[in-house]
Amino acid sequence: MNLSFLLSAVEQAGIFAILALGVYITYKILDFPDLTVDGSFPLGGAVTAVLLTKGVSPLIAMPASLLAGAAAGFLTGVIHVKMKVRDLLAGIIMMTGLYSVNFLIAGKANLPITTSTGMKTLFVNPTVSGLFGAARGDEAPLSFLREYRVLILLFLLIVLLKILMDLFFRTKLGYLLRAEGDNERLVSLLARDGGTMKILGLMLANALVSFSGSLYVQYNKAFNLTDGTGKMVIGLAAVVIGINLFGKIRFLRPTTAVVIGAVTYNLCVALALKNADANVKNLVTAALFLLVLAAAYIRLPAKKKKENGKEEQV
Amino acid sequence: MILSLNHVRKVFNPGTVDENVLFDDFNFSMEKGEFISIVGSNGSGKTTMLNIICGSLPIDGGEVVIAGKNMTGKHDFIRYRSIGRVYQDPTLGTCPNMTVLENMALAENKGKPFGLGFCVGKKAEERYREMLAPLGLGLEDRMHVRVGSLSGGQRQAMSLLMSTMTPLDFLILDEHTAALDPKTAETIMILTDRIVREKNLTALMVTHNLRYAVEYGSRLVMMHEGKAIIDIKGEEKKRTTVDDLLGTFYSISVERGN
Ligand SMILES: Nc1ncnc2c1ncn2[C@@H]1O[C@H](COP(=O)(O)OP(=O)(O)O)[C@@H](O)[C@H]1O
Ligand SMILES: [Mg+2]
Repeated sequence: MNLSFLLSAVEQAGIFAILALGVYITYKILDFPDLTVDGSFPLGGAVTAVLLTKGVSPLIAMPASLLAGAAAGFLTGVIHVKMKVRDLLAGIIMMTGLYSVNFLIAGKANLPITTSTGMKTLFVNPTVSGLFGAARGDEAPLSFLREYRVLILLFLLIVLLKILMDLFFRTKLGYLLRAEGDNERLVSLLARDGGTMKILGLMLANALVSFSGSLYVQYNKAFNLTDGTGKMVIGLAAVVIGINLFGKIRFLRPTTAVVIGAVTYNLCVALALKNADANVKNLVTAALFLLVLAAAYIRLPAKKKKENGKEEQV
Repeated sequence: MILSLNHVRKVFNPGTVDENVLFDDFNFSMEKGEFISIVGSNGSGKTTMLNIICGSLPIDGGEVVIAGKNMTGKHDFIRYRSIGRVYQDPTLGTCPNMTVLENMALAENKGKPFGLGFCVGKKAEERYREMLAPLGLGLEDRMHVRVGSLSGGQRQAMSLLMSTMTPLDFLILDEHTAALDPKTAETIMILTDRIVREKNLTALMVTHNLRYAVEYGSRLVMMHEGKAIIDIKGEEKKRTTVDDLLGTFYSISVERGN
């Protein structure tokens, strides 16, 4: 196995770690199976690709993708909370609708981001070139790290987002969001509207998912309409591995565990796919996920009851 | 009056063969400072009455007035601004996956904006310890334990404390000792009485335990088929015994032919 293969696998895993942090909010904190993900991931990609091809700075395109994702989450929340549509169906409706919305935003099914003609991305821009050198062998302060520049940028972003999330979940609002997923009735008893908390959680989650989609197109230098396929599973697998495997380690925060889970899972997928056709990817993703679920289930004592009476399922 | 139910009508499954007119022109009121115990056979409408007061169930007629404000049709979470409630099920009053400390912090912030300020500091932790210690359940030494791993009695004690941490118009208790073993139930009942006295609370307690109804509270109501068939207080309440209540229960059952 060569180093560059491993490097690019870890880089991709880093991008998906941010997706997983979003899925963690809905799936684990809110206890809401949100299928919006397969639509909000490419939404961030579409928004970013369009803005970048128009010459807009990635520093604007990336926050824009966050906002777009939050808007998608808001709609899913409103469909579920105000129109009383079941959680799974609300996500399916949004995911389906977003497919076309993404097409309309991008204008076509495939939108390349040609950095060679001067478009800037988070990974290719004058600042990065200045720090790491524009080409191999250039004199620059960090030129010895040039190979790892993408990884370093992603690492910094992940750490930043993770810390922000940890801080948020220590605030009063963060506590209330956790309470909403844990015991909806208590939120009402605290004189707060649980529906609003659900909507807020969906907004935060999909903002992160969309942001991950934004990084994804910048990394691949292209937006594809089908970028969203299978992303829900990637996020879920990361969360389940992270929480069930690494979450047991005492000093690890759940967010850290999820990030490690994402990297583990995506490395496994990459290794399994090393010599396979790219189109086999979804089967491998799904099969590995199934394996993870089965393994996580076996690890539970038979019919363990959750304290609130529901049977525990991963 | 801190609470009035005026001409309340509640029909379950209207227009079907299962139609059940539970309340028809039901009137009930509670004064500030009262501690009312409600007893009655299963299905007499006790829980439904509490649900109507809290807005967990809509009504088909009449009005619910709380502290002078007409709350008819208002969401439950709006009414809970001034109502505390403890359910029969000890799992409903706390968050199982959050710690004792975190649950206490949530409860203390009831009625406040829940903004982006941090929820718990060292000072708050000390304050919560002092609130938990008098319960005598050792919770003050288990601040960082998940509430889900506590016993039913410990959780119900926490639910009780949490629902009375902030100022209230009144406290609602729906058979809050019924899911506990007799000894724990007794502990929780004594604790309830103490909290109601110490905090000078107005309380409405449904209980299946006739002895509790006789021993505790300042007023006693017996419900039957959506009506209050006994409503006594003061000296009359003090004179009433469990046997008196049993007698009434028995005569109702005979009337109904079972
Ligand atoms: N959601 C509901 N749908 C239909 N009938 C109900 C519902 N809730 C309560 N009832 C009926 O109303 C009556 C009173 O129930 P409830 O208030 O729970 O009684 P209690 O708490 O006094 O035992 C019962 O006959 C019950 O079947
Ligand atoms: Mg009942």
